[in-house]
Amino acid sequence: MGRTMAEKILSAHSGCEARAGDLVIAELDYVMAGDAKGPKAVDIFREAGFAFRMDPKKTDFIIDHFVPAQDVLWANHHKKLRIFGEEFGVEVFEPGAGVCHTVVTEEGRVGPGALAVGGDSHVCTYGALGAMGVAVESVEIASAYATGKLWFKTPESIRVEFTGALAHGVFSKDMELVLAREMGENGANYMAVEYGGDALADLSMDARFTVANMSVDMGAKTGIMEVDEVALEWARAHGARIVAPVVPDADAVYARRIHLDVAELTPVVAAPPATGNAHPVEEYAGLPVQQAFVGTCTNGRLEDIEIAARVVRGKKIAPGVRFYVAPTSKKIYEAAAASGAIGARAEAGAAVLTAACGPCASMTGNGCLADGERAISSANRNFPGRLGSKEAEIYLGSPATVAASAVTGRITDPREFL
Amino acid sequence: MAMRGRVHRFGDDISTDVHLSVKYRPPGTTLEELKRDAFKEIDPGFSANVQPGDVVVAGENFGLVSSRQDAAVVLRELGVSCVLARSFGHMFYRNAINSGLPVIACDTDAINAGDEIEVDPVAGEARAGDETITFAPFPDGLWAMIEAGGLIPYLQEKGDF
Repeated sequence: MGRTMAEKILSAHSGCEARAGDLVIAELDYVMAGDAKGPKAVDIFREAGFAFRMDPKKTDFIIDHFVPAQDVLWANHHKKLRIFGEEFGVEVFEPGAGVCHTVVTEEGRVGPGALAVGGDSHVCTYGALGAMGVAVESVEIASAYATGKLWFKTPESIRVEFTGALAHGVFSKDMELVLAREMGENGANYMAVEYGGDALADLSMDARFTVANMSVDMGAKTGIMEVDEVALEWARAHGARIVAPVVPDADAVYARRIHLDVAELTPVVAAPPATGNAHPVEEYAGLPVQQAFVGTCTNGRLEDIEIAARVVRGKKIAPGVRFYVAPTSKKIYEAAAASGAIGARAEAGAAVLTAACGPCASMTGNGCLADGERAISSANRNFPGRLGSKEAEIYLGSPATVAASAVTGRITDPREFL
Repeated sequence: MAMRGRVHRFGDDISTDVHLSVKYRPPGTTLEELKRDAFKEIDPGFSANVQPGDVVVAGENFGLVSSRQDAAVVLRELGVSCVLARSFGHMFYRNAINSGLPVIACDTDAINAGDEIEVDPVAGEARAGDETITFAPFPDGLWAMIEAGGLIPYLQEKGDF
């Protein structure tokens, strides 16, 4: 009986034959901690009296959620990470370095075949590089510092085949929102989503990160993509350690198989209250928006910033709309500034924010919505209250759809702008 | 190491909002208060009726959605010996094991409210009435972690997995 990518990665890291349902203890290649779960992990580690026994090069602190520090509480949390980092040799990425998952991949911290954990839901982003990224709690980060290992329940997998070529104006975000709809709410609960199919070959790495990133928004534990030469070359170019590219067996056992012909897709938006509530943009076209946001670990990479810039170049943001743009790393910020993408935004009337999480969730302390307002965002979650008021609405779309909507002030099909 | 108790039966999609509703836990809520209110919305007598060793049995997606570790701690503190469900929300599953509460994914259809049930986590077997249900057994290391009271106490004691 063959094995899935998740089964192979957990087998390789645990030294046993891991099958779906099996509990294993596995060696970790990387542990990501940010300012959301890192401070508590430090407290737990110190209170437990643990010794730091993992390779400090296999972990980082990336300060991205509560930046710039919004109050003394968070300033103290950030300070706690710096002190711990200094003591144990853990690198600290300061506010403005970027969003954790973009930084991790850009810095080459994970490569094909790697097993990584992190204190953030979207650790599954690393799946675009054929790595397995699993979200964990502070208590698990603390124990990883002490042992370099963690226990796992080997997940069942859902195999997704994307075939065909995307039409003009349709992006990987649209693919993933439609997949979330097909999957059903929590349809991938505790499973790994394994991605393959010829449509992936046409996607840039930036577009692939979007796909892997949103696996968790279907309830999945992780999302893992088959790697090709494009992914391997990207990993090499970013200095990633290539653990061992993993290929699923032809006779691997899947809980479910989903096939999506992406050539049939048109731009979609996901209406509240769920990521999977995706419908063609026409169904909501014309609804006024007060806030638009391009950014986040889902869709704030260079390609996303440039697509949105192409939409707004030479135009003005509609009156009454605040358009925020947050590149997800300092490197992306600089590249977008060099290519003119940042300038085009600023000229159009957009506000360019620090390379950080920004107005993705109201807990970050910025970009809240007022009662009765509506936002369109390139983020991954739209449940009521995510951006402050429970009486506000969040619609999710591709960066092109967000930018087109910012220009008209209404939810807008981006194809007429591209 | 087998656990024995009476079954408290719930259905599908019991989220941590149902079993530990946020409206019962304003900041500063004590563990005693959380215990009193567990499952209040769907089984108001739960915390008064539960006996040490009792087993919570549910359908699909038990403990959906949230990452709050209290949801697992409260059940353990109420004396629940383990939770059996067809599937679990993944954060709840991890939090439970890390808190020393055994959670077991298995076919629970034949288990009814009030059944006496015996669960052997290391053998991977549960018996309720005439029914025997099998599941992926806990490896020794992981069961030792449960017995130690969870991830942190286990590592404090052993130093490593």
